[in-house]
Amino acid sequence: MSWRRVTRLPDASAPGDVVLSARGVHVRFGQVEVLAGIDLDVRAGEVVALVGPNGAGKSTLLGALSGDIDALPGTVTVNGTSVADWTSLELALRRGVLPQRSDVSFPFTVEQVVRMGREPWRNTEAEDADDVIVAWATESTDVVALMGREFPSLSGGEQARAALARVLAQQPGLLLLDEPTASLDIAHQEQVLGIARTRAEAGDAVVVVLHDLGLAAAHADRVVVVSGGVVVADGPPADVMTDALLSAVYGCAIEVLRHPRTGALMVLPRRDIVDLAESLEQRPLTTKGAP
Amino acid sequence: MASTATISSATSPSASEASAATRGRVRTRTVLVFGGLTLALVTAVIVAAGSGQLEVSPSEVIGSILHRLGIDAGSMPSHPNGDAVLWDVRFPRVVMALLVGSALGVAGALMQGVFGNPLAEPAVVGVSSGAAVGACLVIVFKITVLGTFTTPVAAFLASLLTTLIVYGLSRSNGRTEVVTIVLMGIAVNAVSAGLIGFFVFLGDTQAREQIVFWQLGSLNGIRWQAVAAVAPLMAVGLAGAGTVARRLDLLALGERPARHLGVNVERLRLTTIVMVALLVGPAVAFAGIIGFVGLVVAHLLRMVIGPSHPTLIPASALGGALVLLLADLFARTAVDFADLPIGMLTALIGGPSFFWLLRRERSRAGGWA
Repeated sequence: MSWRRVTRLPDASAPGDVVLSARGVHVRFGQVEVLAGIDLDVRAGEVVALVGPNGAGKSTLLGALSGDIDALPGTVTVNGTSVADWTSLELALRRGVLPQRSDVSFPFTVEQVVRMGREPWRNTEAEDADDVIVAWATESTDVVALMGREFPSLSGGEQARAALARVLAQQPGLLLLDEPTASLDIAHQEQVLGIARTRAEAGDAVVVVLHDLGLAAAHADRVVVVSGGVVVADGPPADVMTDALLSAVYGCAIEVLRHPRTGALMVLPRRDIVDLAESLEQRPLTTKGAP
Repeated sequence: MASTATISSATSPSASEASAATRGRVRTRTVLVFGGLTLALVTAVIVAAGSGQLEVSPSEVIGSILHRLGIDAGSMPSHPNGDAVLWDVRFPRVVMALLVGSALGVAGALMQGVFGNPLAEPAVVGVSSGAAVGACLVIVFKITVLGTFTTPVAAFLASLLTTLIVYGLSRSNGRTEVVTIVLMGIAVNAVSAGLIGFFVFLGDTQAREQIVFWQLGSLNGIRWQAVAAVAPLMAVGLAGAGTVARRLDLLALGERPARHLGVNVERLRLTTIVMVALLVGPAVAFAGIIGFVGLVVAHLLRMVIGPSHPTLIPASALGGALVLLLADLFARTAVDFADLPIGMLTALIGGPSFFWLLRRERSRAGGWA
């Protein structure tokens, strides 16, 4: 693609390096300001969960971070360089994006689709490892048994896993995943977020849009709560996920409990209370722990 | 943190064997298809060159070719005019059929790839009739600024313009719905028909005859001069098609995923559109509107060897060449002393195939999206 100059291959990031940085990201669809100035840093070695109610701007934010949506007048930098100064091939070597839905126009097999993830690495030394990486990506997403199947013939959950395998095969240092668990069963949800954790432990930076707050609490190092186009909270799950904050953001009585045995955070709606104001009166806002 | 080890991978060895077996089967099929098409093409060329009012036997055709190559082997045509008929009439026509056929086959595969829709085809979306408008324009106004290249270049420019218009208007989110593309074809063909009608009205008798010829499509009366005029443009188009093939595979994932894999989508689209115009324009300029070849050939081959463009595109070139050569052979030998219009033939066969594909697409998409 970029025959005019030599493609810059990525260097490994040290844990804690800022891999992705967004400053003042504004997105406007017509009259509606969907994102109203968002700043976000994502470091190598961490999983960042973007959560928030429907229409809060989570997917729009991910779109802006991935370059699908114009972030102007804000800036997005990847590995310290503005996205405008990378070629699309150079970005593909650094940033992998899993969209919410994956459609494939023609009956490509799952194997062909996963191998497309290796395309940015053509004519580099990494190309020699294609087979090993494809095998790893398909095993870790549990799609080995589907390799010979045609992608359009798969179920929604199978397509989601095959699409994730393609993004993993790309081996980017920065993974942007838009609701990767949306159409998955509970075992595969755990598996997919387990992969996100493993990638982070291997030194990658992972940003994942999630609806399930329990999954976010269990698997993310940082939870970023987006509401009304701004970041309303950003920090470790235990700090961010409080009854008061979640109840206010989602407009619904929510309580955060500790699992009696493991101590893991559990986020549940308070179905015994219909009126939000009443619930806030009845329960002290900061209460945590088992009832 | 989350344990994934509990999800068994006990099925993987046999599954990867199955996948290897599938891959092997596809590879075998690909080799068979390429081998079969090449063999059929060589045979068809020899038979087609020998067939006609003056029959030349296959061994004499081979003898004549060898003789021209400076190899004195085999028997020369026994008829006194045999050699001259072969080299002045038959071979230019055969070569033109091969060129036009491969151009249409590849253009079909390219358009389907760039539209992300298996029903895209130069004639269906109106690119062929757009090219005919360009050709008619220079005929009626007797423009000859570029000599013999005038008509193919004008057709190329007109088909480029038409492709850009169709492409720009019918895509949304990197894909084109079936209904949009069919309706777009109706609209573009209607405008082209109106313009061609206008040129028929303006033109003199000779120009009118030429225009009628386009609408039916024919390879009658093709000489080496015409072959030389289209060959360079088509050669660029065919070579260019090879360079975009891998990236068209990635485009099947959608525009954004392709971009995230490093494809410069805008450049890829423009390159592909220019290639389509380079292939379709000159083909239409000399052979007229020959529809459905690109549609049917690429579609059938995709069913046999899979959708991967690096194999689909060369296979479509061979397949298109074979189909058009056979169609032209039929067109000029089916009825004594008559040359049937080839576009009529391909439409009679291709139209129903298009109908069948539409039905299939419809059931696959669950109605007209």
